[in-house]
Amino acid sequence: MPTYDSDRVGRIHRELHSHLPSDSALRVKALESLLVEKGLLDPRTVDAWIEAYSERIGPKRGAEIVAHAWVDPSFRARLLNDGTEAVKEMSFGDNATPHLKVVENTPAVHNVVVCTLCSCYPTQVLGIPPNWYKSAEYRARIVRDPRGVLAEFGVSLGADTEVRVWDSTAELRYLVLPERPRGTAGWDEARLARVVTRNSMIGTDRDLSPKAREVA
Amino acid sequence: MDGVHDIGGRQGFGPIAVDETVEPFHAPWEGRMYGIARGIRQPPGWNIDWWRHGRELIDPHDYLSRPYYDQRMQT
Repeated sequence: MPTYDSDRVGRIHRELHSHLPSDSALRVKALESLLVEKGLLDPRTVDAWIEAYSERIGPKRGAEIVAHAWVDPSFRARLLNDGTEAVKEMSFGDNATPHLKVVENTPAVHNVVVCTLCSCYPTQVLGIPPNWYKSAEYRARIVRDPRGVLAEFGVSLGADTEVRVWDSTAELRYLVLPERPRGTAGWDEARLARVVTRNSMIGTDRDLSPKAREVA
Repeated sequence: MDGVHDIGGRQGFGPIAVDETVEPFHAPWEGRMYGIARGIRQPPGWNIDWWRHGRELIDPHDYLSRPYYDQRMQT
């Protein structure tokens, strides 16, 4: 008499399905085929966008901007005055960025950026936003309880530190200029840029000192 | 504009997945979708407001449950 082991059947079923692409992957594939077939999309354009944001455009650019601002006070002043114009000095090659406002952290002020409506982000200087930035949890909570959310990211702020939350729009994007960490006197720009984390330029990271990194 | 899509400040959401790795796309299909969204030929008269309107037509259940790039596809 055959026996039926539901656990075993379940395992086999899940194993077989684990080799199938996800629903999302299948939908995207179908959409791309359809658009190409109808002449609305060139697949090489898709490849080019992926290549641009995987290889050339990313948070390294933002880190270079921050490091440059740390060592050059006049650039820092121009950056805070008009981020869009000042970033052009960095000669990244493509400057199709909407207006960029740079907000500066100080011992008394911490800035953090969100897009509550969707996912607006300074992509030309930070690349593709992380998935948490686009999540309902972050977008809903950061404006109501910024200190609580920052604590989840490991950022603890004194009660006397003011928190400013900036809500992005399609026309205006924000970049946080973190504080230059202690213990980096005499470092050149390239070395400084390496301590700048992506999250510190969104505002979900604050203390960039090498000491704080070791603890983290 | 008064629907679930305007999510800032709404309560009841859980913790944020803070330990995400930093690569731009976490699966090949995410990259394909991003490339499609950026590379598609847009109809005449198309603008960001149409895009937003499309996004707000997403069913609330889908809006809160499907992954970001999957929603972008719906838009």
